[in-house]
Amino acid sequence: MSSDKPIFPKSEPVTYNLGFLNILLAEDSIPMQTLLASMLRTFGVGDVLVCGGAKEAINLLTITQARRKANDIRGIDMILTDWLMPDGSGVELIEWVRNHKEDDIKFLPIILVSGYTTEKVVKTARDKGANESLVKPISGEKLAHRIISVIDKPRPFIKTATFFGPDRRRKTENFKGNDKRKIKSEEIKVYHEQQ
Amino acid sequence: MSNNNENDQQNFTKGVEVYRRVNRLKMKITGAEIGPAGQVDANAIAEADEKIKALCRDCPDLLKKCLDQITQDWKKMQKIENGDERKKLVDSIFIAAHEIKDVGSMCGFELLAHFAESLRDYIILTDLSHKAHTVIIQAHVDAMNITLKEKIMAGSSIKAEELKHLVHKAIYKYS
Repeated sequence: MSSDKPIFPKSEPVTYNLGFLNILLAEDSIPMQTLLASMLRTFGVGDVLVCGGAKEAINLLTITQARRKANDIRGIDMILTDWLMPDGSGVELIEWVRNHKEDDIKFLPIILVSGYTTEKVVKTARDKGANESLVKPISGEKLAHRIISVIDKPRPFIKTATFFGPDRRRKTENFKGNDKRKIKSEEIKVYHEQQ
Repeated sequence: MSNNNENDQQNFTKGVEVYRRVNRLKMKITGAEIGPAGQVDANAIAEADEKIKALCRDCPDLLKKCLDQITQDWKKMQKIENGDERKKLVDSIFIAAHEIKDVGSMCGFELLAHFAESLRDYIILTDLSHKAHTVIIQAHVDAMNITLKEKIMAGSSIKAEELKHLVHKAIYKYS
């Protein structure tokens, strides 16, 4: 009676066509900018908008999302940003995005790409609202994994008095014991977006 | 979903709001919100890795160019007391150090990236106007030149530790 077949077979992953995807890349180093843009294009990403810092990224986002609203062009779907850039840092960009009034911008997925990223930088990026972090040296596999993770495993956004961004907890664990949370269940509001 | 208030975050004082959004990206790519997990084409990943290898082949030349830039700017800077010209040179050194750190860390030049990051961060913290700063900058420039000349890649070899120690000593003594 025993069988090696799993009860719920896992379906094989599907190779995504990323041609519909528009990515904004904020990176000040020209060789790194060229490399990352070229890797993204190799993955089949439809459009890669490149800029050298947070200030330029903010301008591009403002213009692009406004034109998208007017059905003029396709909007930006994802942001890849370096951490330290002379013309506005990654943290400035993340803060601007997450504090934006428009849903089109504030919920955009953000991947931090940085060299020699310390745990502190990764934590700060997460606490500012970045979805993923990618530490150099990067590889094709690592970059692809972060992009796919953003597409396939989106986390709900959490808003508290001090934070707005993707849920910082990636796992749900069953906790047995007294509930010591300061926030009571009636203080938690859940918004389900309808299609 | 949001109340489109500019001061949304500031006005929010109590409780937690959870936003479960429609997965627009998945829908855009696959046409449905739910479906099998995705992947990037394996050939595309291999091609992307080739692009990294190509950058790393050119990396020593690129790093040398940046380091020469720092060395030149640094020589010029020592002759200028202050003013816009000096500020331009500080910015140029900062950009070159940042580039060395970025590209070096990408291509396995750990030690060089370490010194470049240290130099860059030092520039952020100071305006390089004090005379004592010259010793610290010089220590970084010398250490980076030796690192590249002797092709010391890893940041943890005996030679690497020696160089790091010399730079730290300069920072400790003259900061």
